[in-house]
Amino acid sequence: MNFSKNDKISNNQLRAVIIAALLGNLAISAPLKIISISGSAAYLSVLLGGVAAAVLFYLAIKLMGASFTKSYEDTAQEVLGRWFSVILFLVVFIHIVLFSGFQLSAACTMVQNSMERGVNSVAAALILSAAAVYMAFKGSECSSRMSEIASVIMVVFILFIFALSLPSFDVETVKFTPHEGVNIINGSMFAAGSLCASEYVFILSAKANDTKKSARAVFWAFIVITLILSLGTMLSVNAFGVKEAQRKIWPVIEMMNYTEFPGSLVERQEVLMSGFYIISSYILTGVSVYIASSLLKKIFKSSKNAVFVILSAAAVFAVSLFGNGIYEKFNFIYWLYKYNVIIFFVMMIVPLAAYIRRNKKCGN
Amino acid sequence: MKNTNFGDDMNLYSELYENKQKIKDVFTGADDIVMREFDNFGVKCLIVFADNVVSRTVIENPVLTNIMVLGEAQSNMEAVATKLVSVGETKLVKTFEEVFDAVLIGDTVIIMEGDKRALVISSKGWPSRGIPQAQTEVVVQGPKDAFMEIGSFNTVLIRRRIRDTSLKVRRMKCGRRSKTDIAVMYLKDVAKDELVEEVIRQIKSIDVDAILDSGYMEQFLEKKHNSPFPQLQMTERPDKAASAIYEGRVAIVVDNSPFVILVPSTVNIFFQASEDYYDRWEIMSFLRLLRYFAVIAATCLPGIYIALTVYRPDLIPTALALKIASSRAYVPFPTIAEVLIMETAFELLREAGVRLPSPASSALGIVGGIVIGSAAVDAGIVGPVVVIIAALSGICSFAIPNPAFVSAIRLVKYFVIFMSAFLGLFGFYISVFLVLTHLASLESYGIPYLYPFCGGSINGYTDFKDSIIRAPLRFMTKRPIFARKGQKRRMSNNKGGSRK
Amino acid sequence: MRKLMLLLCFIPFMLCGCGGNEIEGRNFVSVMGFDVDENGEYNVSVGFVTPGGENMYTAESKNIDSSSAYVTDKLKSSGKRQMYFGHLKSVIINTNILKNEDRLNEILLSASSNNDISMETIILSSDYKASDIVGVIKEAGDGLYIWDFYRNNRNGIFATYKLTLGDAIKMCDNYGSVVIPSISYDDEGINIEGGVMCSQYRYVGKLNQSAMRGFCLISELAKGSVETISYNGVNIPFLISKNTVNKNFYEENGVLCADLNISIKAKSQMHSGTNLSDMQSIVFAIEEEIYNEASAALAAMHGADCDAAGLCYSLMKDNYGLYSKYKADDMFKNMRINVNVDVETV
Repeated sequence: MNFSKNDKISNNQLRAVIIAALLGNLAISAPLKIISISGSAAYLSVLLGGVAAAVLFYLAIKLMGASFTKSYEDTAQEVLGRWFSVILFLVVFIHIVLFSGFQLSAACTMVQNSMERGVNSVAAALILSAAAVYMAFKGSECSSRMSEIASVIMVVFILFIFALSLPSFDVETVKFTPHEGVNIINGSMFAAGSLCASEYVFILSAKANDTKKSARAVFWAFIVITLILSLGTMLSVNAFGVKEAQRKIWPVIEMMNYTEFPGSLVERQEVLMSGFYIISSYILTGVSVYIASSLLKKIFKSSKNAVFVILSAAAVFAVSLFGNGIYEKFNFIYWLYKYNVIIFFVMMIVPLAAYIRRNKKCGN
Repeated sequence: MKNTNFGDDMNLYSELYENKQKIKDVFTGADDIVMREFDNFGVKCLIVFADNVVSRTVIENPVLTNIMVLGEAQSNMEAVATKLVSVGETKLVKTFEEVFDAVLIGDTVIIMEGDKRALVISSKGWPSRGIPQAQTEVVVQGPKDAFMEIGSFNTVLIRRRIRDTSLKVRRMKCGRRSKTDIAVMYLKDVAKDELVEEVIRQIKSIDVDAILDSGYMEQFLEKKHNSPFPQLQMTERPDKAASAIYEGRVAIVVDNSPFVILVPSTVNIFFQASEDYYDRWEIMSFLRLLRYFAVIAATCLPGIYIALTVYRPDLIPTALALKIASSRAYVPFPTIAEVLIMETAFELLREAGVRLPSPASSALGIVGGIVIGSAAVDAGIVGPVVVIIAALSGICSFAIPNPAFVSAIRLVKYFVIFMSAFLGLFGFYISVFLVLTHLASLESYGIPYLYPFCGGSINGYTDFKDSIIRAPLRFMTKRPIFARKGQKRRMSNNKGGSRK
Repeated sequence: MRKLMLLLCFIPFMLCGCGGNEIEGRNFVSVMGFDVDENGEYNVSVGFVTPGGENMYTAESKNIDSSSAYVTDKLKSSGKRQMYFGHLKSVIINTNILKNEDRLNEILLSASSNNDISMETIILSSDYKASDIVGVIKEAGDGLYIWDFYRNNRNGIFATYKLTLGDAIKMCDNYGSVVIPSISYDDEGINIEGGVMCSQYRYVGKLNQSAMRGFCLISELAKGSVETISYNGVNIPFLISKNTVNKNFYEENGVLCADLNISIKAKSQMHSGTNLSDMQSIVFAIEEEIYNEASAALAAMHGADCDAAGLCYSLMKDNYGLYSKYKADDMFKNMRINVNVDVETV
């Protein structure tokens, strides 16, 4: 009777999850650093890095589609053996908990600083984690359905705000000068790294109904994220100027402060819009808790869903207590962005091994 | 279904005396059960029926007159049935259980001396009102008839609209003691087999004393019964039920209830009114949009008002913020209390209005409106802005065509209000996310509750044509998601007819 | 497990601020003035609206005795009612403050870092004491006067332009200079005309009314404004419906040169009897007027080395080679600028 049996999601939902989970979080945390690396041409860095990441994931998921018949976790256990797969799962678990924990912390700092001063960021993180537990309990179908709605709402509203801020756009601000060339490349490396949230892509695309077509879905998801992020970065540089944009903690969101929406009953669009970024954080945390708990279940060979979901959520929340890495001296998120590519290659071991194994079998 | 009362699955005796004694024992104290012995030209017979539940004319003319006066002596029940009783529907039964069931539902039973079988003659003639007008789903344009309390009439109202041989009516009984008639109606070649089987399996698995209304049935069939949101659709309109059956959905007609249950149901369906399809698509699309806006406003308006005025007045335009501030200057309560006072007053008015007869309820509306709208503001108990907010959210909730969905919205509104009061704008967002997550987790017979906004791709996004907007009928060539594979097309390629 | 979940859900409620301030319990600050006393400490005055039957406007001068411009938190809790900066419309800075190095930067940063304060807040400078101006606004209306002034006189403002907090920060960051419109008052009320030039967050000079117009014209800010010229003893008003500036940079004899081609579309109401030669003469007169104003502005800016029109920035973006060749602190000062005006009447 079910639409998607065995906890599977459609390719559209896969695309929606990636957009909804990453778009808002990246818009909160990435542009500041990219602007400080690349200056006024930060949008180019985002564009280059984003397209590179999209192509990389497209190839990886193609390879996966050609060699996978089961979920990522099951295939890993099959091709790597019990202990190697446990080590891999542990590494991925730690990464996912760190990644979503720091993102959650950044989003909750935004809640405290920009949206609602009365709400402590720790309390906000706790509330979001508790809500994420609720979502993770409901399984991947629920989060993917939620993501479908969230991604459409987010993209539509963000584009609407961007369209409103276009009339005050000054082309001169975003012209890049030749001496920025190296910075653009550096920035694009960072942008590509920040987009490499590999565990979501690999584990979720293995859950897709039609794995043959999921590469395309993933590719378009990254292209959409890249385009919106790039446009947002460009507009925020235009609105603030490079120096002020570097002083803003979340330039893409605060940029909306400049947007006049004639006849609106609500001023200060950025505060209202930050809600759409919070939904992204909520979905990221929910999906992370779901994936992390499924990894824990595999590690401990157990099916106690509730225990592992709460454990994973607690881990994410605990990490979020460590820091609001965005503007403190040691930026956890930036550090993670920088080395995100490593986890991509670590996770690629499984599809590669599965592919080689399959080819060998065919050869025999 | 288990028969509970007497465990009387035993066969009838051949001695009339023994049969009479047994029936008498069972119906002791039930004075409305009539038992009369009579003579079929020398053969002793017994007639049993429930008084006032049967049609007297059926018993007297084609049954008793024929057997006692006009006919001739017969040796067995079968001969009586074929030669004497001139009633359309008769059947021979062998057990006491069948005899009791027949008597209780309004049929007449005749037992003959020396025969171990009884003749059940269909003679139902319950007191009933005529076909009523729709009360809760009123339309301006379109049929006015509505379902009534008699299940078999309701099936007739649906069958009148579907003259197709593949319309199937599966009858069964539910309720240990009430033995309520249930009819499951569907189009055999359109509805999914697994859906029909699942519905029938669920109904058969219900084990309860009585099913008094389709509301009972609804709550037993819902998968997530703790959710405030209705996961099945109840309608009092035969045209709505018929159109649902045409789409491949299943209608469950429950006797004694003027509401028919339609499954599966999604959120989108609760925004559809029958009228949407009878009028022009432009205005109906506009009304659809309005209803979606209304549900958002009904849920969020009081919450967002609290979040903005108490926590983020900078989001409100300066002139409005100053107006709100000055209007609240002499109100002694905090904003949350002010909003709750108004909302509660509104709910009370609504509840009282439902219970009162209609002339009195309109008077109540006027008095309540004046007292709460004007006097409360003058007395300085609430500010005028809150009156507007409460009234707007109340009016918006009336714009939604389904009462069950409105009830859910009314509850959710308070959740949003409290979250916004505690956590400001953040609380408002979180409450909305949680409600959305809850909705996303619901399913109705395998269809996501938020379909087509979630999973719309499964049916090629065609169901968006009948969601936020209502596309022209000519464009809605395909049946919605509910229909089985291979039966998706409901209109020919030339869009339903020639366009000259 | 369910109980644990419920507990987890309720803990945050205890942790965070339940119930904010009611809207009527706040004073809505609409104007904020910065003065500086002999000791170099800020004297902040606020004009605010107290919600009530008639929304009373009150001007209050507070000696914060703070060497820092981050005063809003101190002000917030300085009285019984909370001072609320969410609807702050304008900030008036006394010119003396601008003469101290980096004070402007501090004020701008303190305002922009406060989440309550909108980036649309208007920044003004004044030779008068800011506390006096805040007080005078009381006579002029309900405290939203400056805001209303810009809103209602959109077509009438030519002597000045609207500098918002966001724009001020952007100009300071990109161009290193900014022109802050000046506010003054007399018996008839408040005037916003002329401006103060700041370079590297420091006062460097003043623009008079005519030069301020010129600045608006070369910064493409004059669209929608009305000016009057006198021709044959008749005052002819014209509306500038389009104001674009084309900047062209080149080097000539080792000197960096810039051509500013100002093109204007002007709508004016001529008499029906106006003949062609008259029309041409009027156009020439307008061109001359605009040329004079732009030249006056450039002369003043040149003299003060204030590149508030962002010429160096444009050069960097347009021709980075030329820019790096002449890159120096006094680049703007050494730039030779020619102004060409092209007026088209509609």
